[in-house]
Amino acid sequence: MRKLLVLWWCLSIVSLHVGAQSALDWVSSEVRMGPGVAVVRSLSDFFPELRETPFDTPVFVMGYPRGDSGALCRAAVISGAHANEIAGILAAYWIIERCRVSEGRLIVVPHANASGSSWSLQEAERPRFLALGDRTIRYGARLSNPAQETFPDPTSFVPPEASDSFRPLAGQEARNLNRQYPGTRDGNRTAQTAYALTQMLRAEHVQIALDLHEASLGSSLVWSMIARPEYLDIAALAVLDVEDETGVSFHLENSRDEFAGYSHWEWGKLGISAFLVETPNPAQPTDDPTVDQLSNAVAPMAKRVYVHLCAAKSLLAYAASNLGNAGTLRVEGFPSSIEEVSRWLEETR
Amino acid sequence: MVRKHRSLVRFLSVTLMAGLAVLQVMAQAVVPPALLGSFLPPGYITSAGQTSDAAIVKVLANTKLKLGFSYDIAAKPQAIAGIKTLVLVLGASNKGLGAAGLSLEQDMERVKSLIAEAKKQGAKIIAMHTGGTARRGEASNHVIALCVPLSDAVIVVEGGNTDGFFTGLCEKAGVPLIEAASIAEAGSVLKSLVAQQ
Repeated sequence: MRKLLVLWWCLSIVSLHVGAQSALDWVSSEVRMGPGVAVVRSLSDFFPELRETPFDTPVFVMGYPRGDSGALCRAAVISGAHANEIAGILAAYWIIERCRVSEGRLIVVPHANASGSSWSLQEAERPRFLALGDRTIRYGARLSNPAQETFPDPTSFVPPEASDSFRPLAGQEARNLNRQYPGTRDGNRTAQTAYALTQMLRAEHVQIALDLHEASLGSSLVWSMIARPEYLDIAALAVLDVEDETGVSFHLENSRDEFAGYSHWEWGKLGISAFLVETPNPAQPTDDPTVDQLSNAVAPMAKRVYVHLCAAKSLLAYAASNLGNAGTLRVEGFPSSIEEVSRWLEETR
Repeated sequence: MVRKHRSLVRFLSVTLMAGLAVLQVMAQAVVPPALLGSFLPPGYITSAGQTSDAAIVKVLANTKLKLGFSYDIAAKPQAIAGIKTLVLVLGASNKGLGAAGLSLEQDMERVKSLIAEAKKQGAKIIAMHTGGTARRGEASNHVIALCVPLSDAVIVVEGGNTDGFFTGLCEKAGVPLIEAASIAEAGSVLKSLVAQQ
């Protein structure tokens, strides 16, 4: 009996430890669930092989949670594919906490690559943390944690649906979620996560998908939106709105086959109006821990989050409108100023 | 007498309001009066260098400002038959060139032949750059240096001319340069250049 009790105690400790590692737990301690969230699911609901792995992550469903919602539009906002690109993650948190979906359905995945939030370039065992008001936000590295992967990195990597002429990438890119779409069932965990996200988009009949990212200040991708040619006009309209609201002039990039494995290219192939948005991150590309992410003079966090949210608001509205009779989407609760986002970031419960 | 005064006050108010509206549009950009309404429709928008910024200018000109210009990012000379205004959106994009299956040299040949066709049929040319200095690499400078001297007006969003590159080219070629504070204002300038019909 005593042996059984010891075994039970050991198993409990182990499961507690695993639980502490799961994004299903730590995300719920960071984000304050708003009234717009109808139900919280997990990514493993769409691909059970991810269950109880560090790659499983929460999926917040807003608006009509289940079943047939008729002709209503279904959209998704996905962030954290690169766990060091914090402004996109915080923009997703704002939507979860503050937005309401009165028509249509909006799915929000704030930490698409949860494994990336378990380590950092400086410390292989620990993620990084950002203090915001009375809460602490976990973030991490661009790639999945190598210690949590099922296979070692290959010598080179080619995205699953790349053409024969595709020039192979460095092997570590196999742990880059935004090179692994549409994913594979039997690939490494990063490929399976990409597969699970694609399955989620399919199962939920998502028509519009946004992927929120950041780039280093010197990158040509800073302040850019990327979309396939058929969705470029929608992005152009959003560029004009964002400039009007924030003063930031975005640049457009055309998605094409050299973007094999990227969200905007692969999701677009499924008929989804897909857009990738990039704001600047002053700590990238080295994730320099000495950079003040919150009040950096060039790219303060509130501005990056605000611009992401303005872009999301415009892209969702124009893309839904472009669907015509195929769907309606009404999302309310986006911020009206950078100051509003600043106050939210500094908020205490 | 009172009625006469009222009419005069009404006339002055309307004139003042109209003047203020014009001033508001031109709050930042200074458009030489001789250029206002001097470009005739129909117009055609294309890129020089395959920049996706051409899509922004198209949406701005047509969806927002209702100018009704035709558009093809990689237009060939036969497409511009009968037009009166050609808008060239300047900027070299490797991704855009790749998507169009063109090298920069091939696209420059396309642009040269477009400009020649426009000149042949008496159309005027407006060059626009909305991309900012940060994205204006050597290839873009090559495109700009080719197109600006052959244009009748150049509109640049201010961030694209912080080094005075456009100023130098325009002064040398005697082409009017209009700087706008934003992409939206560049659109307002474009609209002010086009004769209303």
